[in-house]
Amino acid sequence: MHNNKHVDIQAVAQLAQLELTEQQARDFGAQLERVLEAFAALDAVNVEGVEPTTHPVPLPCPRRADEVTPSMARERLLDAAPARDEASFVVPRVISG
Amino acid sequence: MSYEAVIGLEIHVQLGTRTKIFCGCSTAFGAPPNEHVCPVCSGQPGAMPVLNAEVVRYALRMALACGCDVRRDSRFARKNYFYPDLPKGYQVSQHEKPLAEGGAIEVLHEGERFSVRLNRIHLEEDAGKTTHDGPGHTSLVDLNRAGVPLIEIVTEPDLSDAAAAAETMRTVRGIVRALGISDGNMQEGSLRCDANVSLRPVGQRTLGTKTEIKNLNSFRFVQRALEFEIARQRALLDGGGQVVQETRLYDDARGVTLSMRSKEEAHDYRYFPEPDLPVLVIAEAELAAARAELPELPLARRQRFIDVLSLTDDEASELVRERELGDYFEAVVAALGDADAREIKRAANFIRTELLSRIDDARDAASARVAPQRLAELLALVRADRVSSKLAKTIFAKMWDNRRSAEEIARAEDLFVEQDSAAVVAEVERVLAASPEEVAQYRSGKTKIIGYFVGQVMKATRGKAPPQLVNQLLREKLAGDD
Amino acid sequence: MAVRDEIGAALAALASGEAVLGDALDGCAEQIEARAADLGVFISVDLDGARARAAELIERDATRLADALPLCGVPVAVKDNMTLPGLPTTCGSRMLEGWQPPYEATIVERLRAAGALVVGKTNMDEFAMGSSNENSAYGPCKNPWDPERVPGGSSGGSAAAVAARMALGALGSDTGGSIRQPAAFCGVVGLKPTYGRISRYGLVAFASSLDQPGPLARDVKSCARLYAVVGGHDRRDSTSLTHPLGDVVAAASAGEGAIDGLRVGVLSQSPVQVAPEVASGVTRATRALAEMGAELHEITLPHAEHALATYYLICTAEASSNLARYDGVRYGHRAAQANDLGALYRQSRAAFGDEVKRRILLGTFALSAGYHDDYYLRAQKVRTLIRRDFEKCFSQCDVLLLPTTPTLPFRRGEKTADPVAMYQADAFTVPASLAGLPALSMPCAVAPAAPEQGRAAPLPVGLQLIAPALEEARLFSVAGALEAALDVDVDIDIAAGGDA
Repeated sequence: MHNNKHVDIQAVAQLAQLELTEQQARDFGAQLERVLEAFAALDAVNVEGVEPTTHPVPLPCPRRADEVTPSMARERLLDAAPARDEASFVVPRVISG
Repeated sequence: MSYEAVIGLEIHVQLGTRTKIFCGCSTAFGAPPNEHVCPVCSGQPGAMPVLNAEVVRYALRMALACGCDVRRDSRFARKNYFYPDLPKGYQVSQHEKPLAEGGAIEVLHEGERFSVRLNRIHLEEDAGKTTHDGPGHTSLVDLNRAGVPLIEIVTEPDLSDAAAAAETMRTVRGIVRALGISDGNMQEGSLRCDANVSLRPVGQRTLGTKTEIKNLNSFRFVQRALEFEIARQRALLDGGGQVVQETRLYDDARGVTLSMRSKEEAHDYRYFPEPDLPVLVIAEAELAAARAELPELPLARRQRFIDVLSLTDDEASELVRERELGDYFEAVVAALGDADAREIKRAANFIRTELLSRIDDARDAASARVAPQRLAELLALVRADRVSSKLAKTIFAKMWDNRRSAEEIARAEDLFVEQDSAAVVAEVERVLAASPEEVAQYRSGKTKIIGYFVGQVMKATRGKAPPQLVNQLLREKLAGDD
Repeated sequence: MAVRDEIGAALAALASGEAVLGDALDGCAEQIEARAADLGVFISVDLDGARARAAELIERDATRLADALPLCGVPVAVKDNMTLPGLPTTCGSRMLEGWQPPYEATIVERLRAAGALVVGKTNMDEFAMGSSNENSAYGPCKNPWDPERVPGGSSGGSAAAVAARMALGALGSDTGGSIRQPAAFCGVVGLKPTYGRISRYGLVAFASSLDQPGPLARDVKSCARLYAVVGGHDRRDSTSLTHPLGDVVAAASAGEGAIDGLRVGVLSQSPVQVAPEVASGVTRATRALAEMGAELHEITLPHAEHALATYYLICTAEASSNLARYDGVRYGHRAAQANDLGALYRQSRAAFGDEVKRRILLGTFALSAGYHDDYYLRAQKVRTLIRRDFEKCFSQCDVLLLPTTPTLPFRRGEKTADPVAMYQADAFTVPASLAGLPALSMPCAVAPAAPEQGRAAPLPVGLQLIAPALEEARLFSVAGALEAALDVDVDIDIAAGGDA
């Protein structure tokens, strides 16, 4: 697991849509590698046949009736948006086709 | 070299529930943008999902109809990627433990029946819609569709040609409509698919490199896009080239598929179990209930129509096209009582011609202006020789217009078969007397001309003369003396 | 020894006519006006709103309401990651500066319905990521005991507000210790309930499988009163538990009887080094329990040493997903000059602070292709082992007693350069978080000022009690008895405020 402690920090940042300056990339990269090094002991734990815990207190997923409840007032929704037109959220054009 | 295509489909079906999968917003299609949006489906900080029970019911119906193994403890997972119409930055889907696995869809294509095996059926939420025509070089985001429930049906790569793939989509449409879980409308996007396609030399077992054609939203596009893509890959391979694994889009205007590579980053969806939704537990009783409410599927119904009701393949295929139409037909047959094969066929043909020509959509049979019971009454008059087949059509038209019964119309408009044979004899004699030339032709051997006399008699009796009697009388008179 | 019950006393005074509704608020308002800005306790203060609400209650006959409304006229502070329409919810981030939530958190709704007066939204580490409250975009919150020191985090503002008498109670949220650690650093009582006990609907998510809101107050019974109001099932949170809470308020004053025969587990070995002041405070509490008839059992949590790594991999993975929604499209900060979508995302998300970015990066990495199984999945499996450790431990004892934090409140800036050192501050709190167990932190001692050791002012020491799932009532009964026995003086001279 920890053979390769080098983290391609810019690739990770790309996935997370974060922009890192060269300096940040160096700092965060080094910190991340230090953190992973500190966590390396986890590697030694025997987890053979152990089920992962995804919910700390297991319970079945509740369900609701298929009944319409009021939506938000559109003005309220769009007013919170940094950019909007009369009816929609506005973003820079997504290159298409 | 000779290649065969290997095609698998990822089919998305919007479920026809009243509300979205995780919130109470309406799923109604066609509302103004961002009308059906709330804190949950717009991904407001702190808002949380609550699963719609009906979504599970609908999905179970599909899973059972396809003979899938339903998982008793399926799980929701987050599929992480950024897009403006994905409000949370992740799509709630299912990944490692889908609702159902295995199963198959039975498809009838060009008279041949085959199975398309399913890999899985899982639940997920739809994304919103981004349109790219905003002013000043912008795109506009509408979240009405965000959170609309979907099932994704993933097939095994069992298909080998484009037409069969399109037929599979038609079959899925028929199934989801029969199950009442979706309108399967490809125009409105409630049914759509991605197609994976690769080529391999005939006889080779290992699969070639595949491409994925995204977001095909009509049966015709499914067929054309695959036809193009198969030809494109074949040309590449024949030319010594290689197929690149990539996502492609179908451009119908140009009839080609285009690579999306340039703008698609290599996706890493970073799936992990959705912590906001516990395990979806399906109890035995719930499965049993879903099984109990399962209707007959179109293909099974079609076979029954052929085997039990002696319809032809074409008749049966047409009548099972929509559940409502099949229901109408069966209601007519039931109301007719002990109908024999001929009468059943008559009912089938009446529906295919007279009813279908009067409704825009076969599903409207459910609310047709002439109820099945009323049509059965009309057909019973035909059976009893009280109304001719031809006049039955006239009567049906009037029933459609004024919603009266066949009996009432026939009586009011004097359309019953002429029961007085003396009157018919007189009419036959009058027609023969008026057509000496044609009589001569008949007697010289041109017996086909008898149709002319029948027509004349029927015209004179306004269709009310019993055709059999007219025929019999004409033959007697023409065969006899001058 | 009389049972401490500050909120109960305020309610009683109201019911008897000894006080009028608004008196408690006036007291808190005075403290807020005097010190809140200096200490950086709030991100938004809403005394006008609280007064208006008080006037409304008076209109409805406050004397009668005091019996009917369990928090009638009680001033409370709410952490700024809980939605309350009318006030911004910033989560301590520039990303959500000025964001007006369009709906109300279940817990806030319940607080207000119970007659509580919300005095403001408290300062916090950005998106609840931190153990020192230094990661707030609105400036650090300071420890009222010694403003040179941190109040703990991430619910530092909530703990400080209660300690400095700016509210009789507060709501915080705890992911890996974010209620308990600041409660310990500020000398107040804080409960992280069983995961699922208190609705998360309206709590802005950090790490969804760990986040749990909870109350803070100056005494155990007041804390129980808050919990009784905000706890319980909520249909809007699918992970919400349906089990009844039990009479936790009564449990808080059950007295010494609750301790007799109680099996108390103590760790035979600490996963990290513990400061002597903390160790002696905890020992003092252990002794007091033994004197009241508790049996002490040495127990081990064999996988506790891996809890920090496990916790940080899981919480950052979930956070990387939870924080993906901050993209500048629907609400919050958006970069002004972005002419393509990628730039819009990346420039808008530049508004996150460094610690948030660090954690998003770690979490994204832990989930990414090729690393998912070795990091995220492995951590989830170790999480199972940690849960099992607790299960085994609770077959031998009824509650676990351990420090809340390894150290006394540290100085601002002391650990900011080193994330690993900062993460160590959570060593005692993350195990219960991973297992979803209820845990309560309460003051067990005050370390006196020791100028020779650089301690200008006295500092509180916290201890932590952990119980099996759903056993909050047990925590309150043990804590109540312990509070009475220890009789720790946590009243700080706010006027002096440690400025000395």
